[in-house]
Amino acid sequence: MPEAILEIRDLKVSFRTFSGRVQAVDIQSLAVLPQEILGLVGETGSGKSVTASTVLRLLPERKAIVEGGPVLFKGQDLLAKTEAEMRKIRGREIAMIFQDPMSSLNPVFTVGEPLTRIIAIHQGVSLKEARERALAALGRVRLPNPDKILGSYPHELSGGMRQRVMIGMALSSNPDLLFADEPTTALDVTIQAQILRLIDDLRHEIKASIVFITHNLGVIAKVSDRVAVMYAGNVIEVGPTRDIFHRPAHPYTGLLLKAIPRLGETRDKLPVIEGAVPVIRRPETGCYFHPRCPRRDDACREARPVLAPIGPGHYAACGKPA
Amino acid sequence: MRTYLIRRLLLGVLVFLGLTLVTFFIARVVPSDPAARWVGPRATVEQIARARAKLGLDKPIHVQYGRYMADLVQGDWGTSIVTHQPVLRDIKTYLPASLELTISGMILAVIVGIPLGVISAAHKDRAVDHLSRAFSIGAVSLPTFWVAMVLQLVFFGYLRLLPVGGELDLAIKLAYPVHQITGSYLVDSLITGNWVVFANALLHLILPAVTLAAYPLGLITRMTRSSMLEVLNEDYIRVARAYGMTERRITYLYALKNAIGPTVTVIALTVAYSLAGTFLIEAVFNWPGLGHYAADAVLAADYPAIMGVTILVAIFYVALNLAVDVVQAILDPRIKAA
Repeated sequence: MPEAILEIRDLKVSFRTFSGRVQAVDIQSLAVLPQEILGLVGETGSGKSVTASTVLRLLPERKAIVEGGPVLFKGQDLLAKTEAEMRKIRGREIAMIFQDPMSSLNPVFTVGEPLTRIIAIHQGVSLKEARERALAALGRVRLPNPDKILGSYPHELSGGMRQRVMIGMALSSNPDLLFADEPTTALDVTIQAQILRLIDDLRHEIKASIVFITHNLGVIAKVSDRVAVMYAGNVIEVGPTRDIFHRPAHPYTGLLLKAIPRLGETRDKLPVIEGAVPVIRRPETGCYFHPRCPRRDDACREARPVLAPIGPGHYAACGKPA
Repeated sequence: MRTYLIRRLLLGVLVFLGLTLVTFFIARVVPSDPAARWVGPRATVEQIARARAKLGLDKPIHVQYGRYMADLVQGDWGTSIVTHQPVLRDIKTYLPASLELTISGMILAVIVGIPLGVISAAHKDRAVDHLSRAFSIGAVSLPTFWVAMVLQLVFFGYLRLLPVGGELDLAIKLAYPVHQITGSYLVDSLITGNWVVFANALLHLILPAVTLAAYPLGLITRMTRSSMLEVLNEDYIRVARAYGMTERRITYLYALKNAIGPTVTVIALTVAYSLAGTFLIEAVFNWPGLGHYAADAVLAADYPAIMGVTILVAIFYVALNLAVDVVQAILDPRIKAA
């Protein structure tokens, strides 16, 4: 296995709330390999976005408690970096695309303002040179008339164009790692397909690793090389996309796949996973999934399973894997 | 932008007309006989009747309004019943001192209030924030006359640093005559390079300006803080952080430009209000401003003067609102599009 670009070990993130500490992330192990697209899937609240924010150290310091680690990026622990060092990494070595392209762009500035500024800051060039590179960045995401778009305000652009601008911004400084946090969720279906195609096209040009965060398994199947499934803040299964979709080892993954509606299939009712994601404030003993698991037995109630190999590159944290 | 401006301007004219209408009729239904006041307490019935005809008060009220408005646009704002001077001339006498006080007070409130609100929001729930909130609540809730007198007590009474009131020391006024250009000692002495008068006028301005600034300062701080808090939670602020922008740039440029709108509105409204609404400050500091004139006019039922001050304030309100609309449109391009 090649050296990972990002490696997370024993990472725990919790939040201080009025009703006590809430554990949001509890990852034993997660690695992102060079130039791969890793799909990070899970239900809402399973800790996908918090994981990304933790890596970039964007969580509010007074509310979030980050424990454990390290979080190794190109061999260096990000958790040990100073804020000034992190600022040099953000947007330059690790970039992020957010869910809603409307709210991600500042409504009272032209899209060129942040884009040009970011390029100037990270690449150490003049604003004039940065503008040239910004035009190139917009051209790279197949936006026509980059000159005009650079001077446009976000409300003058469509959702798809805005997301292209965000992608252009993310790639402007050739990052090594890109988090795409539900980049297509807020877009309508045809635009979704275009943006996915764009990401797929660009991955060969940019040579970056991409962590694609989504709750949409259809999207994951289309774009990713490997998939990591999260449940209650925990990575419970990881492996090549094909294996995850065809031979899911963890019962949760299996049930998740069954819950995808398929066209042409006549079913009275979409299968659901009984129960709800556990209140993560009080992690029970044993496997987090056992109260909802159809395959549980007494052992699942006691010991918490760790990620164990199932096949080549395929790991699952389950006491009774399929 | 142009149609937006024209629409705003027309709306301003309508508001202005409505205001004159309301003030005019309210001034007329007050149970006081302007004609009797005009000729004085010992006038005969016949003299009062003549005065009534002279002032046009024998005509139906809508005719009176029409005539008043016709005179108004020609620059005849009526004659004060108390001073027997044209109202416009009276206003010209008192307005410069009021403007001087209002503008300097507001400048103070803005240059302290906005940064204080921003700092408070950026350090929410920390010591700076608690201090600034206590300070702004105090500034808003302490009575003006109390603030004024405490300032006098400290800076004039104990420290002997600043004058107790007035616009200028009498000795200086006599020894260094100022060529009148705008009517404001501060501005005229600055233009003519009369530094002795300028320094003295500035010293006299400090306490009243600080007193006037207190209330808007608190308001601006609180307004800026709350809209900054809202904006700092927006996604685009998180995005700016995720791309390695410095906190300073994020706070003072990306967030503040979004958050400043409500504050601009508050500033404009407070300026218009302060013009004639600072009677208490003017009384305590013996400042010859419009508030004095307005208060005297109300007590004497001097309706042309009341109308004059009202119309002046209305013009300022309408003009400042228009200015606010323009500023908002420049700050936020979405407004023009809507």
